[in-house]
Amino acid sequence: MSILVAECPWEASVAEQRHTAQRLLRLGLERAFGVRPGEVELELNSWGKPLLRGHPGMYFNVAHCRRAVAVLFADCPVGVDVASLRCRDALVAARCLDAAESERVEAAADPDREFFRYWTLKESYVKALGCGLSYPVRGVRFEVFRDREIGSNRPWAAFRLIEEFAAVVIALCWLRQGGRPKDSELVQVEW
Amino acid sequence: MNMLPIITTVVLEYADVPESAIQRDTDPLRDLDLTSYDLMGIIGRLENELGVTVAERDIRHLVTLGDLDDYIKAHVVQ
Repeated sequence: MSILVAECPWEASVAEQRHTAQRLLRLGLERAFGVRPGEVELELNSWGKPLLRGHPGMYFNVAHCRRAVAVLFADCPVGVDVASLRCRDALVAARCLDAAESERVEAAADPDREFFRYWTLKESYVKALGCGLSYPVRGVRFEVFRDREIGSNRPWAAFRLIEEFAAVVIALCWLRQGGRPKDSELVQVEW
Repeated sequence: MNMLPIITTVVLEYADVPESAIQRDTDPLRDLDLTSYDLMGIIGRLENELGVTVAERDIRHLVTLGDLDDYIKAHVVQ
């Protein structure tokens, strides 16, 4: 299974990010599942999450932000979120973090990076569920340990953070009961 | 009271668009390329400024800025 990531130049427009996401989707479909883009058709679930029509064992999810585009492929429902590192918004933090998470963010050596770890993890879970903004993310609780292990109160999901990129945090979520996710190959694609 | 001017002011802090691009039927995610993170920030700002609480379960119904205007008008403490 694969996660394809392209770092964006600062000047990239949202339209260019979307274009790159489509390119990564085409590349990844062939790499992960051996299918050509013409052989698959996309459909949207009731919340607007794109799915591959007629391919129940093939899942993907797309995320983009100012600094990167990421597409995750797997054989179970998945979600990916990517966030550019910047100053965290205290109002967003207050809405989405529980008390223990807030304490860990404030105590971290880099509180902004720590916040975006939690934010992207929560978003990756909601995106894997495919239910959009309606999900109460404060109730999805995480703890990121020093060895990068991730604890959560969602035992039916597995999570991973990708922090190989200086400007972004990427979180991956697999909806798979118990245990760790299968290893996902990180593929860096030129912009 | 029409809340749209206040909503517009807050949205303009997040979206790089002219004020004329912000209308009642504007979908901030689709039309302004804002993210869910931006939207959470906008809602947080409006809650602070207007003394209203937007329940998480209601956010999915707030598709357009007009929806947000109607919601705030219905829930703001007079």
